[in-house]
Amino acid sequence: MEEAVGVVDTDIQSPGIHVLFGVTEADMKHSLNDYLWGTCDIKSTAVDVTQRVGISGGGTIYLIPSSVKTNEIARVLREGYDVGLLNDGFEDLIKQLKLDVLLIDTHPGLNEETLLSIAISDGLAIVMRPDQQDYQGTGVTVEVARKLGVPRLLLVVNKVPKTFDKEQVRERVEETYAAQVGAMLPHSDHMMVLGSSGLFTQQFPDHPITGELRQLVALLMA
Amino acid sequence: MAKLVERHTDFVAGATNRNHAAERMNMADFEQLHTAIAALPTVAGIVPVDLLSVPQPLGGAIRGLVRNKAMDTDELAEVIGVTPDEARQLIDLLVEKGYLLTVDGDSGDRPRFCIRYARLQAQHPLGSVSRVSICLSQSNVCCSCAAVKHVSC
Repeated sequence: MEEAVGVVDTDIQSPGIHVLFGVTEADMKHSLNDYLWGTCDIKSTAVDVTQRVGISGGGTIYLIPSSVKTNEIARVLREGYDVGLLNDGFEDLIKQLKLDVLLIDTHPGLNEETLLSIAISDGLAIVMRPDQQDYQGTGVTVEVARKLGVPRLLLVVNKVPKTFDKEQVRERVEETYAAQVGAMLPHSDHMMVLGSSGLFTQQFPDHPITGELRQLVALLMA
Repeated sequence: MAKLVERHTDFVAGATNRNHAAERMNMADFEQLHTAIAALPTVAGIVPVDLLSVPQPLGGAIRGLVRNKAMDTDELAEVIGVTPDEARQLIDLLVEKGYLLTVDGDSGDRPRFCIRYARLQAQHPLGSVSRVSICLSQSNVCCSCAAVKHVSC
């Protein structure tokens, strides 16, 4: 599929997704922080990472990173920013980069960026682990997502131990949250060894996790 | 980690379908909604967390504005489930209260309305302990913001 996809890192407090795409601080001419401070337009923060991750076939991936500089993270926390600008930025990215999909990676907990992202999204995938701590936190996020009226809500159960009965876990999660499980990702040594040094789906195209992720994408795009 | 996917779609159509619970509101419900909005504090814009506390069925309209950027009176009336005249009354109140802004319409003279966003205030994950200890040394006035102490101080 020749889709144009944008990936925005809105985890301004603890950015990290750039690592998966092999983007370093030196590669970031501008970041989301610069845009929020009005020093550049949103398009100039986008880094074309298509070649870096070895995507072929005509698709394009742009990464919009948040700054990894400590002083710039602190500045956002200290001074705040115009929320309307962030919302405008998402819209402008779609238009200016002619995106088919905008994927917004958020902070794991609930903060203002996460709430805005949920409110404007057509689909939300909440990643959780099958442990008691995550069950409670996920419940809060699901409730907020429902209140914000997200059209499509999916759960992704991550790091499922091989000793667990997958279908039993799926049933329990779906029953608990009254939401569909979009993917069940088994705990994987391959994932651990990869250690965020690349995109798992590119490195292991035939792995069961890749199959689950393809299914998740299909559900989100349906 | 939560991952969100946004696809560029025509929101209005989607919102209208989703909120087609928007059966016409009766007069008593409209009066109740009007009173609820009138009771809202006057603000200089909203931040995302405010979306969680907007009274229904106005919440659907506000979320629609967040997604669609701007809507005219007829579109908002459809989402809220009121007549255009009633919608106009609610919109005027929301503009007066600082929740909405009037923007230039694309289609002739019809005014469109959008969310008035506030600047997100500073977050204080760092240094909160020292702020608390300073506050405790005062009577009931926060040394940082000079206001009566509140939870975030």
